[in-house]
Amino acid sequence: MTCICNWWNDLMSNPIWFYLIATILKLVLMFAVILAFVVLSVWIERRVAGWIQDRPGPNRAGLPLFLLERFGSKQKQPLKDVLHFFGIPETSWIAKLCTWLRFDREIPTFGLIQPCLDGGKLFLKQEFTPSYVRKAYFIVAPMLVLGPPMVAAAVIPFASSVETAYGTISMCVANLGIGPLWIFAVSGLSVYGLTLAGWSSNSKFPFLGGLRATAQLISYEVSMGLSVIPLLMMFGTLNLQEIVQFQADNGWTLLPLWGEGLSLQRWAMLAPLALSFLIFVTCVFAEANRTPFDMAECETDLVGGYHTEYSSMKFASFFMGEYAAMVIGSAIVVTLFLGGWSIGFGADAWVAAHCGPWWAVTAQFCMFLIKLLAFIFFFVWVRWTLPRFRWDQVMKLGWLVFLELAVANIFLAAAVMYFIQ
Amino acid sequence: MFESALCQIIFYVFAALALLCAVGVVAFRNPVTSAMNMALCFGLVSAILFGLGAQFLGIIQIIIYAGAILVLFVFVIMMLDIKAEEHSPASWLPAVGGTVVAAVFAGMVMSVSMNLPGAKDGSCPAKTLWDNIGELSLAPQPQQAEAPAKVTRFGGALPALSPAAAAKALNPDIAPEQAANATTYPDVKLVGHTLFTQYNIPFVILGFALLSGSVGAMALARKYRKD
Amino acid sequence: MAYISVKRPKFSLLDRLYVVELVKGLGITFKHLALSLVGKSRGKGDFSKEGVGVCMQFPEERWDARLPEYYRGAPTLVRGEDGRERCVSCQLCEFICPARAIKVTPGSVDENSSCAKQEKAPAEFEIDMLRCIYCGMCQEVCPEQAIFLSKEYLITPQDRKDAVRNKETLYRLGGTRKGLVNKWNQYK
Repeated sequence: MTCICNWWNDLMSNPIWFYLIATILKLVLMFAVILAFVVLSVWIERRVAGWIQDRPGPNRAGLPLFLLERFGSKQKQPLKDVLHFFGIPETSWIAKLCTWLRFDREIPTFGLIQPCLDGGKLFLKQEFTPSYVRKAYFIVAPMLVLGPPMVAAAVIPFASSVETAYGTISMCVANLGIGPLWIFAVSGLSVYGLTLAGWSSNSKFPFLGGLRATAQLISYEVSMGLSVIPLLMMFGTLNLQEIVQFQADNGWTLLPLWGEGLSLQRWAMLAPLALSFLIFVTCVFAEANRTPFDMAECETDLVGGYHTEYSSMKFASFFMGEYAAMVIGSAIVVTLFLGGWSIGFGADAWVAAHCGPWWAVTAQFCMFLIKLLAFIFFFVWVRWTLPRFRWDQVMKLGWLVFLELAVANIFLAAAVMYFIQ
Repeated sequence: MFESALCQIIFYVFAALALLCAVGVVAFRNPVTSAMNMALCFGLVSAILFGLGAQFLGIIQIIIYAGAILVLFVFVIMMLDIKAEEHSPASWLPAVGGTVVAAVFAGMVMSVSMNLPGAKDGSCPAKTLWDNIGELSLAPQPQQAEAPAKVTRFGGALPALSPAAAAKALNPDIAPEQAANATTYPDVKLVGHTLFTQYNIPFVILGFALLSGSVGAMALARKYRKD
Repeated sequence: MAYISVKRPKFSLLDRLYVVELVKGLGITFKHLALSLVGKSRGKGDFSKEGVGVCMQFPEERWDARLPEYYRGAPTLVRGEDGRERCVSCQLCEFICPARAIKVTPGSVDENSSCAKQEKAPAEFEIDMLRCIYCGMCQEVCPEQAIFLSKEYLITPQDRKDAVRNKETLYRLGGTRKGLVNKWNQYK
């Protein structure tokens, strides 16, 4: 035992090994969170869509209890037996609640494993490749859509840093000094996937979808980059971990209620920052190809858009890529505007001082996930509220409205920072 | 040393791959494949920049070139008749022209880099440059002035950017002890600082040139209608 | 044909700013969401006993009672009121079937039957339920009114062989019909 401890101690004392092990652990965590959230956001999408349209959405996909019989159990009615065991009458409200929750028929999941089962179904389906496609690009394109969001997640901080005996761990896979730029750059690369998919399908509608994706991405990336400049002027740094730390100390970007955030300047800055938020969120919608900006795959005029010719797991990759882009988009909005992992009202420092750093990190991680979920809900909510824009309206909005607004916003923010001290 | 050796290996691997992709851009007959090779080449070059610690330059390389300009290229290329392009007979004239242009550019780059301080001593010019700045910032400390701080992440072959030098460049009034204590390397600030102080006027003129270019493009592309 | 020119509505500046209308729209959808969650959604109680909204919780609640008279379910063969099979194996249904689901093997009727020399009957009559598209063309084309679409909509074969219904099954499902065509005794 001591031998292992010593070995571990020696290993972790080496800064290179310490760095490697910590990074790999963080990578695994981040990857798991993203993939879990892709599945979760599909479920949220379908449930919320159902509720908004006055229907239940996927509420089944439980584990049916007849599986027990198949595995040799003799009991026909496990719920009844359980109720008898605890001496609860079958007419009591507990029994009724259990029946309502479908415990008598299955182990309920409320549809949560539905996306996994859908994935399994897609995995088992026939992989159909049309004979006229350009094979190499046809195969590469889905990977190019799914890959970039996963890579972009590397710079998003999901908690503050922890001092351990061997060194400090910053709870962010790669603590780069260029956080937001990294996300813009890498998530912008996913357009190659859409374009190549459209082109290599060698068919009209996918091609149009690919072209639309290209034009839309270029248009909105400009306003997206310009809209965060007021924030960066306020933060004075591009490091996302420092940006979130600043918000934890001085009030979230859109909620300056503690620390330095109570100054007149911060409250005056709310005007340009709110405008930034509006532009940025819209651009994130456009970049993630979500309604009302899902021009590249709009069924009404393009059949299925760029993934018309795809089937089975390749189609699933596109599907997952879209949701992964949505998760990353939510994460960056939360990080820049809604305080990232910060619990708010100075609670971060309090938890760290009173409960220890590991508890603080756990609480911050949970807070980050809650905010992420809330913003994913917002994504879905908007999708089921707004109809799709027309193609020329999208271009007009990008170039004639948002670009000008974003540039004017920079000057507004600069004026506020200069005149109101 | 293990770390520097690893960094060197990574640098040469990326450089070799980038060269390979650059050759691919010219060699492939399919324009889309050429464009994809070019995107890959940009990515690899920016990986080299990341390795050197110039994260900002690397990411700008990806955003501007791979993310915007090349996407436009692909946008245009996809509308071409690829089959005609693939089967057109190779002609010598464009090849010769291209070689001449490439040679002129290579000559320009060579002449610039040969005129950098220390280039003619046979050592790496960029390294000498950075060492000079490092020497300046650490000058009052005599024992270090004799042997300049060699923060060599790539061994002897390539320069590492010293945080002390960066701090000195950003804030000339900084005390040398403080500069020596600097650990991070704020390359975004450094680029911005250089661009908006030393090269401010050329930068503004360049902006106007780009603006007039885009306005001119609009004027050419727009159809005037009488009604 | 006269053209009617419809004027586009004039939008005020507030409308064109889009943000206010966007918030209003979000409010409407959120209202639906909240009402669904507390179980008071529109259409509640219309179809479903449990769950939310206008959806029927299928395996527990079925819509058998609400099926209209003209519902097109699985096709079946029927017998006349005298107990004879109406089908004379003319194969018109087989020819008309757009999905080619029907396969008729013509045969003769029983020697001892009263109409032994008068009519034919199918020796075998198969409908592949995996192919059937419930269009009802077989019912429409049948001169003897021998094939009818029933109201059966739950067709879940365990394998492909199960999905093919033979003559015996079809007659069992179809049962007897009264009236309509009276073969060979229209002067009755």
